Amino acid sequence: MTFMKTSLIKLCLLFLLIMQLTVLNSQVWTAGDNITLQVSEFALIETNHAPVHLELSTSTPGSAVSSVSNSDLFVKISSIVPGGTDREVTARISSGSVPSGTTLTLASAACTTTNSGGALGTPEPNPIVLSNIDQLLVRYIATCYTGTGYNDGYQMTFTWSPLNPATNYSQIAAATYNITVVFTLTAHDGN
Amino acid sequence: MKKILTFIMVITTITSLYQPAFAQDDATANQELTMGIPEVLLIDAVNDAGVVGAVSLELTTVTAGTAISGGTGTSYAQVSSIVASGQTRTITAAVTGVPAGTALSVTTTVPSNANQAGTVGTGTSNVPLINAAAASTIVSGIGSCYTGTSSGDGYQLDWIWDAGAAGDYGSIVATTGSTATVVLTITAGV
Amino acid sequence: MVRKNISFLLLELTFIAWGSHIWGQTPPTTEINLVMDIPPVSLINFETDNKSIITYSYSTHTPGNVEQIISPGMKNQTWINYSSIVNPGVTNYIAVSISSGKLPDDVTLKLVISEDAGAGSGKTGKSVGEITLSANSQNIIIDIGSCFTGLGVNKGHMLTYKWEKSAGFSGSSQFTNEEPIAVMYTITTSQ
Repeated sequence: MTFMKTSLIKLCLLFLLIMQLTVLNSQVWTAGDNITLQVSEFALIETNHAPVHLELSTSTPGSAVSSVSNSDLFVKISSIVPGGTDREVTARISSGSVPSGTTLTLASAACTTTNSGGALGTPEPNPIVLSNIDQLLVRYIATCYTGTGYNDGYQMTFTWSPLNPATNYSQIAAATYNITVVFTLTAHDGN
Repeated sequence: MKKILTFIMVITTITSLYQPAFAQDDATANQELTMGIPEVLLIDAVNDAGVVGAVSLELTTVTAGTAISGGTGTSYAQVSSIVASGQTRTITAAVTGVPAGTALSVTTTVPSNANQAGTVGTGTSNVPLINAAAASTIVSGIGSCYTGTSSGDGYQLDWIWDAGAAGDYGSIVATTGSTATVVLTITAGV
Repeated sequence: MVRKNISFLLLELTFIAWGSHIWGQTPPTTEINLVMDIPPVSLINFETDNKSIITYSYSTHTPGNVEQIISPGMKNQTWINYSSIVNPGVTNYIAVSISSGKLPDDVTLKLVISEDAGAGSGKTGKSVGEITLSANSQNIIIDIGSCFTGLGVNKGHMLTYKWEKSAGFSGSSQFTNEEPIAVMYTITTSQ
């Protein structure tokens, strides 16, 4: 019996030693009989916070102000969806408005490839004319990640132009205008 | 004595400060754009060939007994203007170097062709330009506009150069290559 | 257990104060050079009323010359109009001579030149009064500056021809051939 006890204690000590060597932390010892692995569906979106400055001007006497573009902004996402569903990125103006006599468009490039993976979706082929209503920029986003670097993600190109200058040019007024654009990664279409 | 190790691995609960961004909620990101339209005042003058260059005027007569007359020529002032809301601008002209005994005036026609757009204002007729006098307004009421940059685009300035007041005629002398300089200024206005 | 908390800052406000700077030249001006030529002018011409029988023609050689054909039966008055632009420090003058034809030996032809009628402006010339025409050129109007006389009769200087017979003149036989006399007027710049 003593031998048996001694042997059991030795065995337990050996077992603990092995466990400590191989799994040093994050163990939970409980009693039970199920192993559960859970991956929750989630959706995250952010930008690279690049300041987007646009200026309509000209340096040639007699010419109209020129269209101007800015492609500094990248939108990054992380997305996991239930199988067979997908998401979209949409954009709208949430505060401010596009100045009279001008138009502001937005186009998304395909996601950068360096640090990304998964089903990154398909950008709309044509730029959208921004308004206060959500419009589609990227479709068919499933489970994916874009990378987190400054220039990872979907490169967004804003283009600001005079709108039909032959009739509307008089409306263009010098000022500074602040506009907030909201990008939304929608709930997956399985909901 | 049977010990069973149960290893529960959970990858979960990723949260956001601004949006729950979880499950069925949409995730959003805001981006502010700063969009500036600075005021623009640009003016340039070209001749009727559409290039910067002097305009040649000749004042003479071919009929004995008549005064010299008919020194005419055309320039174009090409302008880009962006004004703040409610603002208007003017173009003024001032001159030096008009030969003694003669008189220069200008008639200004605002552009109307397909290359211009916006609020181009109102022109003037036969505005006398007197040496070293205060600048005279030749166009008023300019808002945001552009005139075009091609030959024949812009405010058309028709120069009229004639003998001056009758009493000054005797002070006229023949001259070749005398240059008068007209300075056009587009002002901030109100 | 592995747990990750990932927080994304989703909102960035970029605000750039935009000065009210003016885009363009300072000051916004442009210059136009007008090259202004006043070429010297010396033009003379004659005016008569509609019943004139005086004819004249420009010399083929110099524009400042005008030849006037006169004949004994002509009306005796004509008006000389001129336009003159001079270089600084010089003046124009008008001279006259008989350029063709021959007067009878006992006849003299005098010319009376009035002062300028004042219909024009500027430094019109001064009359020498009266001369006896000959084949030699004689000044009739001098010190002409930049001026014009006006165009037409009663403008400029009135010219009056006076036919004078000598005391011994006895008849008209000498006029039978009615040979016209050509009188050349020339405007010239003094040096």
